[in-house]
Amino acid sequence: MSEYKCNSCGATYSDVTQNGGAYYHACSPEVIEPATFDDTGKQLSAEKRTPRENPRDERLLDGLVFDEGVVKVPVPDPETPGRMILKPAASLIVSEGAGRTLVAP
Amino acid sequence: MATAGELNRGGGAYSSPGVDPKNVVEPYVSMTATPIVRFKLKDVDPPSIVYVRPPDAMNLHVRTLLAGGDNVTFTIRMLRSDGEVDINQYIVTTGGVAGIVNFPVDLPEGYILSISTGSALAVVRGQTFASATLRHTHSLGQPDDLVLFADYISTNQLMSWPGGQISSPTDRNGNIRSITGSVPAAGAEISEVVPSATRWRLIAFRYSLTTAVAAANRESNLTLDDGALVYVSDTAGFTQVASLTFVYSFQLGVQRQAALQSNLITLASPAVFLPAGHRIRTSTTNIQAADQYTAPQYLVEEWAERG
Repeated sequence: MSEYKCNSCGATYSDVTQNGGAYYHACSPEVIEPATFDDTGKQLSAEKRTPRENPRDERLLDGLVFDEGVVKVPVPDPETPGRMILKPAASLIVSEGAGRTLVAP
Repeated sequence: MATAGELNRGGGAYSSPGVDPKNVVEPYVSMTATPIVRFKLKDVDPPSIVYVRPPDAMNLHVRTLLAGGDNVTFTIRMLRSDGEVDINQYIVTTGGVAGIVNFPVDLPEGYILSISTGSALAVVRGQTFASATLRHTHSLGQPDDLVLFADYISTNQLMSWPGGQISSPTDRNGNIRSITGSVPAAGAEISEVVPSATRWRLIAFRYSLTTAVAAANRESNLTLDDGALVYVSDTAGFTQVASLTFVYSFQLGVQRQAALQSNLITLASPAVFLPAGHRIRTSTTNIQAADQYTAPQYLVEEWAERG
């Protein structure tokens, strides 16, 4: 149960929950530029929300298969339309983003 | 005074002289009805309806949601065509990750007597799903011909054929999990996502919001979306001003309550099932750059979405 900091969004998390279950961090999808207010509460500028670029998404790729000692992912067979074949997975997760940093082992 | 010979006579020591049963065992007489059915003692038919022969194969399938994967043991008993009983054991590992394994094994000619399977690491229902199916040839691409059993297994819940079940992974109760979410950076929202090939039923969601000194009236809301489009917006109906920490506790079966002596708000949560990729997020009106969400903790019931 190690603690990490996401280099894409700055969130901190553990990759395994207290009861041993898996936890898959995924960045919040928006970057927020907050609205500003003066001391009287009058709004000076409006809030802006823009999609986050290069988010990290640690969810496992759908349908990972452990086959002949290698974790593989199903991909369409280029030779037979509609048929799936297994290929070794370059990455097991949906999106690496900017990576993560180990905070506490 | 009885003599030693009299005392030891009859059915046992110190039995009553003169009323003792004889010191012999009467022949056994069955009290059950005379059987009408007669059974063969030679050339007995196999006690199984599943006859296989090469190139038939059995696909041992495992899907686990455990972070470190699982090791599942399958034991197959077969009556071979030469009359011998084979007992083969296979340990199927998911390679240290939550994922799927299809492990086809060749079968000799004969009858399948039984299959049993159990998990090394799953402790409750909802963590590791296993099935055994027959297919014509060893190939992974070959379709299954017959499902023998399919259900969740654990260290103390074996699944077997015959007598086992054929269940979908989302049938019946799942695994109740308490999950600690990601603590976002300052000025960012909480965002949690349902993992791949997983289904959740949301039971409770709790978090804290500490507002910075910047003047603004924040309102913390909970939203559910399908990965893009929001379908539930659940408002706290409460304004949190600067320099305060409030706990927001969404849960099933309650009505909105604000604590009188603490900074706690109890809120009703929608009773929803969330498929893979759906998200649970905060959506904060007037959030400020130094506002900090902390301690996201939630309770879900979890199933593998596909077997």
